[in-house]
Amino acid sequence: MNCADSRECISASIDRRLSAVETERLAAHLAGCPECRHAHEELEAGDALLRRMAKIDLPAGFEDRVMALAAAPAPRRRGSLLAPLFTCVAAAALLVVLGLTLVVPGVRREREKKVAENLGAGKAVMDLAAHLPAKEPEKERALLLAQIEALGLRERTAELTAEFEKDPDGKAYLDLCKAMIVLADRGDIVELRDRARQGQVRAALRSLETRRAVAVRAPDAAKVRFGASVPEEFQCAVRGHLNYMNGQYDAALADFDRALDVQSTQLFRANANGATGRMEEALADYSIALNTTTDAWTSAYAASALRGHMNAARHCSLWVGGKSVEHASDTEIAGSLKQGDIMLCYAKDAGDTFIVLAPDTNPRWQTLRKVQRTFPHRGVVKFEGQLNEVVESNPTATAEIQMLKVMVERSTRDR
Amino acid sequence: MPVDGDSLAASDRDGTVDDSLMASLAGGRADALREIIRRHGPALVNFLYQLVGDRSAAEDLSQETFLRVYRAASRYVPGGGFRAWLYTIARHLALNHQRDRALERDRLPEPAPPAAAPDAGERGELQRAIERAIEAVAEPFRSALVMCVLHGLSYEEAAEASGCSVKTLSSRLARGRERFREAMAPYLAAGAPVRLEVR
Repeated sequence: MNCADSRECISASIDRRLSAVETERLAAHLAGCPECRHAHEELEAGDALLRRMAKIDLPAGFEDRVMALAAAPAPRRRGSLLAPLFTCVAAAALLVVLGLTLVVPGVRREREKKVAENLGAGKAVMDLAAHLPAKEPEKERALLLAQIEALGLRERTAELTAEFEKDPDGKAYLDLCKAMIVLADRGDIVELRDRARQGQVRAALRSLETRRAVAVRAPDAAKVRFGASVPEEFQCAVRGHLNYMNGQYDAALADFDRALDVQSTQLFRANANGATGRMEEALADYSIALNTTTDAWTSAYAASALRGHMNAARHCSLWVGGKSVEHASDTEIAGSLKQGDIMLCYAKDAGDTFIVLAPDTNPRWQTLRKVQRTFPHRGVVKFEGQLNEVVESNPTATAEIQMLKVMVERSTRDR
Repeated sequence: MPVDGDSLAASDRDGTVDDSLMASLAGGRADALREIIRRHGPALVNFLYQLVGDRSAAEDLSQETFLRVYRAASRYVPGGGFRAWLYTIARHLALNHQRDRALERDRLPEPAPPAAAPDAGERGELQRAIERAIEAVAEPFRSALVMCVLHGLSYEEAAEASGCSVKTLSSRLARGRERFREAMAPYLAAGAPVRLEVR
């Protein structure tokens, strides 16, 4: 046990959370390390000091005030009054746009914009589904159904089909979107999550985005109407995703906080914090995402972001044994991995950045965590172009292990 | 032993009383909320005070927390996790408040001078030092420290309230303790005021 490990163990030992073996190992370390012994004493004394912090009392009449407020009718949401009106206007506008498209070439751009908006709505569902942890399937299913309902995707399937029929990329996307709705209804979260990550979805979106140069926008979160059956925390999660997609990061963060659902919002929360300059919070969020997820892509994204390589994270793809498995499902990845394999999260667009995931035991990310401990400092590991070339020309586990060694050496030297 | 945790329904560690109160509340018995406030209010207002460092904000946030408990009663799933659920709501509200406050601070042309706390003169140097040290512990380490050390939440409860794994919570708590220790270093060194203050 080294000193860094011992500090975490000391904290756990104060709370009597160590196993007998760990307790013995800690005792052995403390016996030979005066610094850690001193830290142990001070940490215990620190707890005692903290507990001397003065307490405050609830103000007089607190109970009565809360009871009175609870008895009063809940305030109506501002959006709920305007939502029906908005829906009518939006529906009318859509009909006008679709109708005019047939006769007036000048409105083509408007139609493309509308297509992009619809894609944005579907993308919100896809993004959410792709990050479902499948830990609490019923809860996740409910969240996704709320999203589908909020965006009106189910009701608009016929309309969307007509619109996307003319567009091969859009049609492929729509087919998947429909499959998602069926899977969500059936409650098959694992399958649903895997489907959401299928490469063609993102490829189709990228293609559309590039070709049309139209920003994909999700519906305005404030104007989305929810059915009475959608619990408030789910509404908040959905609204948060929509705000996030529209670049309204502060609003998204406020929504995510009220969502009471961390698993499916963690990565978005991290991005939103990062985008608004709250790096400490973003790093903490990425760290949570990394530590709680069992999903390879989220792990790769979060780990890359933690090293300060946001561009890399945004364009990350996974390489297993030298083969690109971009957005592969967990099942596919698990099937491709052999004991001792090392998986790379490789960011092509960034040119100089990748991180190593080495799922050599179960749980799969154990070695990743070792690597994390090896590189505790964000941005320490910077790679030169030729190192990537080495990996590209020798995409084998051996070369990758070699790379890991180089990374360790560099990290140690730079620190 | 945790101070606030002791006052918090010590006889209901498995949360059965809370579960039954929540069932009553969901069944339309609003009085159950009063009992929930009695059981958890004193600890909750301190928890929020320890997170936001502002007494009146802590009181407002406590009020909002209980209102949310009331409104979400029908969705509460019994199983002994009431305290973690309550702290999840409170913690989110506190983080929201902190964020809004930070945004307001950013918008101000000049920072307002800090108002002196009314009881500043009455509090000892040690109290002020502890409060400063708590402030020096950033989130999410602060809430881990406060929940586990001051409120006696188990690692599992605190992890649930923070939306992280138990392992992450354990790391956060260790870091929180380290940072608090660093901030209190003068008081932890031999011969420092804290030693003299022992009554």
